[in-house]
Amino acid sequence: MKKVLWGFIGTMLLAHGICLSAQDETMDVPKSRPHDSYSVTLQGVYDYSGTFAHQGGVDLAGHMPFNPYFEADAGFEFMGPKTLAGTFVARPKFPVAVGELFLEGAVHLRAFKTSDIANFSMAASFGYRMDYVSVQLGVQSMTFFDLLKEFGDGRTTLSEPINLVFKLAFNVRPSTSPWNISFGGGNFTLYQYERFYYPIFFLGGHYDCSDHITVRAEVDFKPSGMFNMTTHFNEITARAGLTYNF
Amino acid sequence: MKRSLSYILALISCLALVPSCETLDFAGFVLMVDTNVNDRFDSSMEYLESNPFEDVNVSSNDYGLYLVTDIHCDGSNDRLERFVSACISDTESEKVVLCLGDIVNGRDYQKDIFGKLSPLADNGWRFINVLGNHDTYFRQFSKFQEFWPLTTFSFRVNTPGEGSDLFLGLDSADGTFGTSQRKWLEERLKEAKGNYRNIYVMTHTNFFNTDNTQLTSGNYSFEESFDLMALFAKYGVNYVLTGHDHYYEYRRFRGVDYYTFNALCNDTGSYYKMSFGKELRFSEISIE
Repeated sequence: MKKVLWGFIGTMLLAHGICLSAQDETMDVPKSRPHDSYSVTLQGVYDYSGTFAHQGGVDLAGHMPFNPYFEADAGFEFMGPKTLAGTFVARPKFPVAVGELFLEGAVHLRAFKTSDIANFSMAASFGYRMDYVSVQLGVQSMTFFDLLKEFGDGRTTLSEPINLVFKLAFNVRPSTSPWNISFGGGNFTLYQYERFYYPIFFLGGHYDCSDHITVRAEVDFKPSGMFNMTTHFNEITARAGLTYNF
Repeated sequence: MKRSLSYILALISCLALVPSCETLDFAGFVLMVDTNVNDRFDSSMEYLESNPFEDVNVSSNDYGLYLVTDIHCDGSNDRLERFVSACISDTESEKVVLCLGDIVNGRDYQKDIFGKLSPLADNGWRFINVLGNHDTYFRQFSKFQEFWPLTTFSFRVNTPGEGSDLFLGLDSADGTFGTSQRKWLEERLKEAKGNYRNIYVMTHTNFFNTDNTQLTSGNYSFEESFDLMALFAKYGVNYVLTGHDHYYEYRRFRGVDYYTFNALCNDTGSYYKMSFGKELRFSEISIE
């Protein structure tokens, strides 16, 4: 299993190298991200998983760029009567010659009505993002809560103290472009934090219809058994909606 | 040009990570394997229609069985032979071994393993095995199936004075129970609730990873973990017996005891002498 871990780290480093190389050829793009605007996003969600079959729901997310050095994100997801998720992310940023470095602290809660169990995650990570690529690596601590308080032995929680978080994302256009397509993978989104070995792959895009309105859509794919090396379909989630930029 | 060269070098490097590895099937990391849990479930149900799984009749209310997991046999050591010898020399135990998967390590060892296990069969022992992820590597599930056709099954252990225990053997090699097996499991548990002394689930993939000893190992997704944990509690499963992570761990959740058992293939290879009664007891035996 150590080989797998080293293989993964190697792949991440290689991908990072590719991205730096790609960035070298796009020096005409802005060297740091513009000060984005405050925004609110509302999306409809469709989900199919081997566990819950078909589900529908709504996402509500907010983006708060307080200044060029600090921003925050918040997201809430209501998936029918079965799942409720909420995440808050705080992100100090440090513009550098090409792109920006950032730290990210996140708290995430996802509760499952069908099982009356909730997962609470706290994550800390560091990352580097440029116009065409973003990489992020860190750790998270997870705690499972029995909402019925019946864990047994007087305990109502179980903890998995250290797990990794990672994300690698690519854009086909500079981040300032009025339209873009993004793709990549990681073990967390704004609406779920998974174990290290349950990656979520995504493909999404947005189009700025006007100064204030952006249309966006994304498809997430979460296979099972990837680190069992017996990859199998598990879950697909589609989101589409509008962002209002203030 | 520079970017193209970087891509090519990266691709070559990534392919080098999918090496001529003889134990891990890196293709399964990115590609769907040739078989999946739903297909294997259908195959098991079809087989069971004409070949019902035999119940076990024991002579004592507290009966002894052996349990082993993650044998990962590849001919590099003699732990499996020593385990088999230990079983056969035990005249007090019921003649049954429960195995929680990952029998094989690498390619083409199934016949070798079956040969090493044959003294058990020759002495009247049963080797009841669930599928592990390594058993499907290198597209060799069909070879596994020649010797163990069932990946999903149930059987009763009938005691002389305290009714029966129900054992459910489940396929979690893909890190999921799949939709068909999940449905079958709930139906089977509905029928079973309250009718058995104890209900045991035997499956390969463990549910918890709280000590983080094997960071890259694969469990279930959170939603499936929680769904199954709630299901087990709702229908009165007493014990969940798993392997996969090569270490021992015990956790209790809503009245269900979850065990992850240590592997026979570890340097301090372990197997377990189990005592099934009103409560489960066991002792770990190490093979240096």
